[in-house]
Parts: sequence; C-alpha cells; structure tokens
Amino acid sequence: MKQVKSLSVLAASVALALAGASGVATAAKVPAGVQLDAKQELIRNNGSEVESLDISQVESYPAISVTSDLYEGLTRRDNNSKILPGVAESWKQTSPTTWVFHLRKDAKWSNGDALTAQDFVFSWQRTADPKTATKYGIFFEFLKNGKDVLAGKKPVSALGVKAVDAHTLEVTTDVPTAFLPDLLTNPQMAPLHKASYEKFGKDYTKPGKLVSNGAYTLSDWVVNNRLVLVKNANYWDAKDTKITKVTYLPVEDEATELKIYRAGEADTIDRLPAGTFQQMKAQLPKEMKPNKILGLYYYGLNCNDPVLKDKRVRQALSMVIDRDVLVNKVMGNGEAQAYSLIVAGTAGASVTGYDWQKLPMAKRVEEAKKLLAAAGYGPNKPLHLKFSYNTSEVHKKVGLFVISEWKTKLGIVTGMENQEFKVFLKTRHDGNYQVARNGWSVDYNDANSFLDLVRCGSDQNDSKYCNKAVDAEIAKGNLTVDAAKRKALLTSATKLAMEDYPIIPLFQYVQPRMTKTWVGGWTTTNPMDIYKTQELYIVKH
Amino acid sequence: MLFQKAKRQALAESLSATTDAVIEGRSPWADARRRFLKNKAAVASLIVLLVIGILIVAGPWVLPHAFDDTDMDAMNFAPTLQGFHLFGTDDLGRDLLVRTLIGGRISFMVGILGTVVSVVIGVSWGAVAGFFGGRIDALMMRFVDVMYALPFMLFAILLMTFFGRNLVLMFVALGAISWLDMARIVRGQTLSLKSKEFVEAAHAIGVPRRHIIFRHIVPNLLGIVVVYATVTIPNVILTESVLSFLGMGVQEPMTSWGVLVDEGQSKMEAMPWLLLIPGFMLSLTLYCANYVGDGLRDALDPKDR
Amino acid sequence: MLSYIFRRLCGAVPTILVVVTVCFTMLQLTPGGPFDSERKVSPEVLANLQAKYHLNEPIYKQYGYYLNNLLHGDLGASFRYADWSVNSLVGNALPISLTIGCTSMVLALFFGVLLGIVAALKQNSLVDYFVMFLSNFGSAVPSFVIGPVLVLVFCLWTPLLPFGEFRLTPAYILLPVALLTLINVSTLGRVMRGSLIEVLNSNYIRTARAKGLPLRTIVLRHALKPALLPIVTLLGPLAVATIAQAVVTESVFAIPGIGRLLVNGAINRDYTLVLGLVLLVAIATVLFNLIVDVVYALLDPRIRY
Repeated sequence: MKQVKSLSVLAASVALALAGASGVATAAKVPAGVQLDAKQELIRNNGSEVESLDISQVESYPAISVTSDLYEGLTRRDNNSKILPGVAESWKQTSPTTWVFHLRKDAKWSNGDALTAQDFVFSWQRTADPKTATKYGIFFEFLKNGKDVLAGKKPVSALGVKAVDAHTLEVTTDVPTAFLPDLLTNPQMAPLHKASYEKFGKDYTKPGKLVSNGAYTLSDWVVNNRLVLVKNANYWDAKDTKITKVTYLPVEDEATELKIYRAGEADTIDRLPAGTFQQMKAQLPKEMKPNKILGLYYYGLNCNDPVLKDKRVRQALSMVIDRDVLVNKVMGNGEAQAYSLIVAGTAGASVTGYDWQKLPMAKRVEEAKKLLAAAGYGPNKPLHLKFSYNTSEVHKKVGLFVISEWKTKLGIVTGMENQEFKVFLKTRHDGNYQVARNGWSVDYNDANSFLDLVRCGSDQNDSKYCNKAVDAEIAKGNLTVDAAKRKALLTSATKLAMEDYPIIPLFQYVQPRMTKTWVGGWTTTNPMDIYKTQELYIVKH
Repeated sequence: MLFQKAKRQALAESLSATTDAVIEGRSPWADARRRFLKNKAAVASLIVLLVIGILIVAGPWVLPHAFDDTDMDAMNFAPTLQGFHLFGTDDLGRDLLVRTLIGGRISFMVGILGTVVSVVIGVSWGAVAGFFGGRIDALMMRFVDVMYALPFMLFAILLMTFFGRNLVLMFVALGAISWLDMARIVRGQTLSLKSKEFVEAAHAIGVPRRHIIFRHIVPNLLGIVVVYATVTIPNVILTESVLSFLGMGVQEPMTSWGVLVDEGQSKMEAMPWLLLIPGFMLSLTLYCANYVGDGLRDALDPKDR
Repeated sequence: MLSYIFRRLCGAVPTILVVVTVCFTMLQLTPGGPFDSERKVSPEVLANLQAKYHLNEPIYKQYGYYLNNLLHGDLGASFRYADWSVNSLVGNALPISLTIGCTSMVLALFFGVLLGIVAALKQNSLVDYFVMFLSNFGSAVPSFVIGPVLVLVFCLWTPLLPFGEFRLTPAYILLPVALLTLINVSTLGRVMRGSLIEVLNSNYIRTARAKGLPLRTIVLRHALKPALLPIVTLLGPLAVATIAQAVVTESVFAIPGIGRLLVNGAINRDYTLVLGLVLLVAIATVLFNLIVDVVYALLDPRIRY
C-alpha cells in the first residue's frame, strides 16, 4: 500500500512559474509518421473503485486519475510531470505570498457555460468549508487562512483566493510557496460548476448531471464495474485530444487484472502481482513501462519505545540492511536503493546519505555490532524486536528479508506481527509498535512533503521523532524566498534528522506498469505518476 | 493377485463377522467397524492420512533446512538436488518441502483444534437446549438462528481482525463459527434421548441434571458427533485457506497449506511447483478426509442401525 | 399454511433485529475506523468528518438514527463509495449475484442429486469412489485455484471465452457459474449419497425389494422423495451463501457482486454498507428457510402446519 498520491512536477521552480506561458496546445503529441487507429478508444484498469468523483472527496490514486481526466485546474501536468498552463494561460508571483492567474478566455464547461474565476473561488471555498469535510485538505493548508478555515475558526470568505475579474484570480499563501503552480495541478484544486452542484446536490457527480471542464466528460458509471468517459467537445484543447472514449475498470485482484490485460480487454494496468515482474518482462518486454516515482519505502522506528529510544540501536538496525540485495534480488522491479528521507528527483532539497553506505558490508556489520554492544546488547543479551506490517505479499517479503539480515548479522530476534490494514494503521498512528512498515509518496513535488515525516508533532510523523533543531531549519527554509538558500536549509534539516535515524529508508518506489504496444504517448519518466488520457493516442494496429 | 487379496479379505471379513456373531453377539461398535472396513476408499484414505500425519510430524526434523531459513542465493529454484531443495524454493530461497510439511502441521492443527472447539461448543449448546427444552431451548435455538443469519465471511473477517495476531485464537475463531450445525443435530438427538428409560431412571434416583446431560446423554451422542466432526475437519481446513486468500491467514514466517497454495496460485505459470506441491498435499488431505468422513457416516449413523 | 407463514415472518422480525444489533456492536468494537488511511487525517479534519456522519454522537444515538432510517427504507450513505447510497450499491450488485447464484444452484442441485444417486446405488464400488472423486473436487481443491485455472485454460490459452469488464451475458457468467456449481455439487452430492444409502437400508425399501420391484421403480417412486429431505434442508443456507458470500468467485472473475461488497465493506469499515448487506443476508436466510420448510411440508406428508 502506498501513500495516497497526488500530482506535481520535477521542476516546479519560481522561474518556470514566473515565465508563465502562452496557451500552447500540448495535448497528444503524435510523432510524425505515426498512423493513428480509426478507433481511438482506451481501456485502463484503475486498480480499485473510485471513492468519489466529487473533487472535495477525492483522495486515492484511482480517483485522482479519473478526476484528472474530468477536470482541469489553473495549471496542469503532462505525462512527464512537467507543469503546463491549464485553465490559466499565464501567471505571475507578484510578491512572495501573492500570485495572480490569468484565465484563458475560451475556457468552457462541458455544457458550454463560460468558465470564470468565480468558479474557482466557489470550488475552493466549498472544499475548505468544514461542513464539506474533505479528507484531503493538505493543499488548502498552504493558502492564506487555510488551516483556520478547515478547522472552522474562520469563515470560508477568509480563504486566500479572490476573483479580481471574470478572468483574473488572485491567490495568497501563508508562507512563500514556490511550488504553488505544482499544487494547483491537483484535481482537488479544480473549479466547480456551481449551477449543477446547487441543482443536484450530492448527486451532481452522476452521469448526465456532472458538468466538467477537463478533456473528458462522464458518460457512464456503474459502481464496481466500469466508469466511462467521453471526449469533451467544449474543452479548449479538444482538437488535440485524440482518445474519444476511455473506460476505467475497477478490478482489484492483481492476478485477475493481469489476466484481463493478457486477454486484451484492458490496454493499461498499473500494477503487477508480486513476483511476476521478471516473468512478464521476459515474455512482453515492449509492454513493460516501469515508472520511478517520488515515493519512499521505509521502516519507521518508534522513538518513544524503551529499546529504540537509543539512537545507537536505531543506527545499527539501519546499517546492516543490504539495500543492494533488497533492490536487486528481493524486489527486482528496478527500484533504487535509499539511504535518505528524500528520493532522487524531489525539488527543494538534495538527497542526503550516510558515511557508511559505501563501506563493505563486513565493516558495516562490525561497526553496528559495536554500537549495539555500547547500547548493552550482545551475544549474552540478544536484542528482541517486534516488526508490524499489514497483509501484503511485498511487505511480507521485504519484512522477512530485513529480519533475516538482523538475525544473521546482529543476532537480533524479531517477531513478525501481521495486521489487517485498518488495525495496522491504528497501531502505527497511535505509536503502539517498535518497527513498522511505512511508505510515503509526495503530494506535491517538494521536500517539504517528505519532511512532514520527521517534523515534531506532524500528523504523518509515526516515528514520534522530535528534534527542535530540525524543526527550526525547516521553518527557516520555508520562509526563505531564494530557491538556492531554501534548498540548502531543507537539505541540512534532512541531514540532521537522518543522523538521528528515526526511520530506515529502504528503496525508492517503482510502479511496474504495462501498456499495450499500440498505446502512444505513455512515458516512463513521470515521477508524479499521473497519466492523463488526453495525451495518449492509439497507434494503428 | 489383487483379486486374490480381495477375496482373502472378504473371506476374513465374513469369518470375523461370523465369529463375532457366534461368540460375542454384535456390539454396535464392531458392527460399525465392519461396515467402515467395507468401504475401501475410506480405509485407504485413513492410511494415507496417517502417512501424511507421520510425514508432517517427523519430516521437518529429518530435513536439513529450517522452514524460516532464507537463502538469497537460492531464490525461486525449481525442484532440484542442488542444496537438497527437492521440491524447490520460494522467492526468498526457503525450502518448499519443509515449508509444505510445516504448513501441513498448521493446517492439521487448525482442522483438528477448530473442530474440537466446534464440537465442545456445539455439543454443550445442543445438549443443554434439548435437555431443558421449553423457554431455555427456544432462547438458545433463537441464538443459533441469529448466528446462522450472520454472514459467515463477515464474521470470520471480524474475528480475524480481533485475533489476527494469535494462532490459537484463530483456531478458536474458526471453531466458533462452525458449531451451529453440530448444535442443531445434537439438540435433535437429545430430544429423542431424553424420553428414553435410562434417562428417566437417572432422574428418578436423583442424579443431578448436569450429570445426566454430560454422563448419560452426551456419551450416547458420540456416534453422530464423531461423524459430524469428521465432516467439519476438512471444512475448517478449507475455510482457513479461503481466509489466506483474503489475506488473513497464518502469521509469517509460519505458514499453512492455505497460505502456500494462495502464494502458489498467483505464480502458477512461472513457478508451477509453488502451487502443485502444497496444492497436491492439501487436496489429497481434503479428499481423504472427505472419504473417511463419508465412510464413518455410512458406518456410524445411528439411524442406519 | 398461510397463517403459519405469517407467524413465521412475524417471528423473524426480532431475529433480524438482533442480527443487525449484534453486527452494529461488532463493527463498533473492531479496531480502526472508516477514516483511517495511510495518510493520517489531522484531528480537525477528523472532527469534521465525524460530525458529517454523526460518528461524534453517543453510540445509542447513532443506533437510533440507523434504525429510524431503516424504518423509512433508507440504508444510509456509504462511507467508502461516498457518491452512492447503500440502497443503490445493493441494488446494483443484487441482480448480478442473484443471476449467477441461482443459475449455479439449479445446476448444482441437478448434478449433485444425479451423482449422489449413482454413487449410492453403487455403494463401495469403484463407480462410487470415482463419482465421489468427481463430486468432491469442489471441496478438495480451493476455489481460488480452480477459478484462475479455468480462466487460464478457457480465456488465455484457448481464447474461447472473453475475460474483462464484467457483463451479465452468458459468455461472461459461464465460468463463474461453473465454479460455483463445482463447489456446491460436492456438498449436495455427498449429502444425497449418504441420505439415499440410509433410505435404501430402511425396512420399507427392503420390503419393496423383497417384493421384487425393479430398482428403478424403487428409487424413483419410493426412495427419492425421503432421500431428498436432507438436501432440501441444505438448500436454504447453501443458496444464501452462494448468492451473498461468493467472495472468491467474485474477485477471481471481477464480478461486481454482493460478496465482494460485503468483504470490502468490512475491510474499509464501511459501517452502513456492511449493516445493509447483513440485513439483506439475514432477510434472505429467513425467507429461504421459510421456503424450504414449506417445500419440506409438501415433500413429507407427515409434516402438517
């Protein structure tokens, strides 16, 4: 299970944002010489039923995929995670905390209504309203007064968004937020069609009622069976949208999903059953599209635990795990070894590392043994640990490997505790564990998202780790406008935190996808991992 | 050869049957044994089950690998002599033969313990309800109705979330959801036994009711209970495997046939041995248990006498 | 008869109410809630969410709300499928589950009875063992192995049948129906065999045989009806399980049916959805049992209501 994901970009820099751009058509770019199929229809397996198509309730990867096709925000991301203009033609950061977005005049809703700045204000205020009860208010927390509005302490009108005129939107943030254009690509930040929402209420997301502004519009939705979108003729870039109909399947069982793909009734799948990657790669090398994402697979160490309170123990545990074997032999989907909180490609901080990571394993083990001995553990008093994880083939496999590393190299006896998913989440969030499997993929492409895992008292800090010096560096960095200085500060905060070993980073996630050879426009360089159908096309086959 | 053997056996049987008849008269148990022995499939199945039982108990001691030894240099081996992995290894280099045998221990334990729990609850519940009758009976059987109406899978999942961490509690949970039929059957039998003379005699000489139920009535239910228990064992083993499919099986690194078969089925094309070996053992056991169950039923069913 | 049915239906109401209450309590006691996800929600957001779903109010009040909605035929809003009411979720899944479940029940009944009769007539012969081998297949090989193998063989290796987005057409329901039939045949076949053996050994059939009636007449005229009684008893719970709890079949064939809805509901702590489905299963159980009892009365002249 991965963290809920959302979108953003590799280089969400102020420079790009300031540059803005003009309304260049950038949808499906069909290379010269490629013949398109007469039937531009696509079937994507989505891995699960969407929890909602209401953008204020959207949270999971499947729902974000579908709503990214249905809706378009001020900015959007292509299938290389590059930020492009969306409904906003251009934008300017007029002060460190103020942004002005100029909306394109030809933006329309799928029913032909004109799309105005007021539609964004309505949407955002509705989502931030405590009565709407969004689970995913993280993006609004960056807007001015966002946290207070979500908590019901201030009225929705206090939210940092204002329609200057029908085509100009002013957004204010609490602190300088260089990655704002990145945040705004998320479907949660899309506009909402007020008239249909007010007419149909909760039912506004049903086929025939949903009015969208993205490249697609909802045509059919049978829950747990299929979700069909068709091309939105009123979309401003409709002429460059090739796929006319996309069907999302909600098949959950991974083995079933792969069989449907092989039977030719799905053109793309997002996952593979554990242990089948090599087999499929050998059989269908051209269809493998593994994509490295901005996500970290790690083990959390409970810093409040009497045994793990000792930093030396935590360090020893991290040192002896051979990430090379883990990545190459146990996982084998092309994952990258991780020694830092930050994974390669994240904006806003550099990947840090450990001095020992280049040492030969024998040396690392020797040093780890010394650390353990200093902490009072050795052959006479072996260390006993408990490892908690939720039921999954991958978690089990990694867990067994790590435990055998600890056992054979340090003589640590580790009991495994496999819990049902929700029980496990409660155990982990409540800090009732010693070592727990954990994972994080960013909500927006900035180091800040990863640093949430180690900030004192952060909701995502399951290690219950707290170091005031780290917090001070993060806070200082986030108030810094200069990109280079900010990066230096956040990198040093990361380094500081990692030297305390609150977590054991293991590897950077790879999403092992497969697509049929005739699906054009699919990339494997998409760290934010959302694939918009509007950039895809079907090659003649 | 075979034919002769069968003939000899038949002769021996008829002989023993006549001697029984002549010397001792036929006790119902001897009668049942004779009928059971007539069912060749059941007898053969019983022998196979015994062999499997011996293998899973003794096997892991004899073999050179431990069930939880991982070996990164021997991952996904097909059955081979190399490193003495006769049945191959799984994706962490663990020996499949040892894991299958250990998994068998767990599956047998799950089947037997789960059944014991269901027998204990079912017999007590049914006997008490049937014996006391009236309001108590109505109330107790209404409870059984309620349990029947609860979706079994939901109940199993909720129990697994409660007890998921503990092997013993899992057996109890599995038993706790399979006692309903037993309770119904036992109640019915108790109702008819209650009016028999020996129970009334016990009443008359002032035997406490608790004693009447557990000393006089329950022993007389033995036949039907044994029959029903043998039917329950394979059901519990199969239920455990379905729970494994739903991700609620035995805790790693421990394993069971259900867990192994579930892992194997997801890789059945690339690494068929991971499915075939534990799958064969599981199916063989379930088949045998079913044949033995049918044999016992044919032989012991009280209505049949 | 009508007044009996009426009395039974009235008597069922408290049972169903108890079932719902038990489930409500069990769900409350299960650790983890509908809003627990990998990304922990902040306390403020959690408060908003709980207020929206009335989860911040005392349990007895929540229970009251639920019962009140129930009286108005409203099963509430789903937590997991936020855009849908439980009514519409159940309404979508039920026709699919009913079609597949009922078709397979009819087939299983036919084949189960047929195989059972053949085995019983040839008791303890090779024919018996072989027929039971066939019929036990579904209870000796886990369904999560049979299902994927069926797909591999009939949809991938020899692409005779389509495999993809589920549609309620013969081509798509053929394999799931086959799988469910296999599972049920094994139960029905064994029971049929056992009960027919029992009936054939009874005195009146012996008399009929002694009179020299042909076997065919004996079985069809005299033995079949009483031998079917245990099968009829079994049909109620079996049909409910096949329709509402075919979790494995539904996930292997990607069928949007009731069983998976129930399991997903429990896993997601979708309280309202689970309760709605439990209610459905409880009502179905009561109804099926009632139908079975009526059929029983029609089959067995000794029973009068």
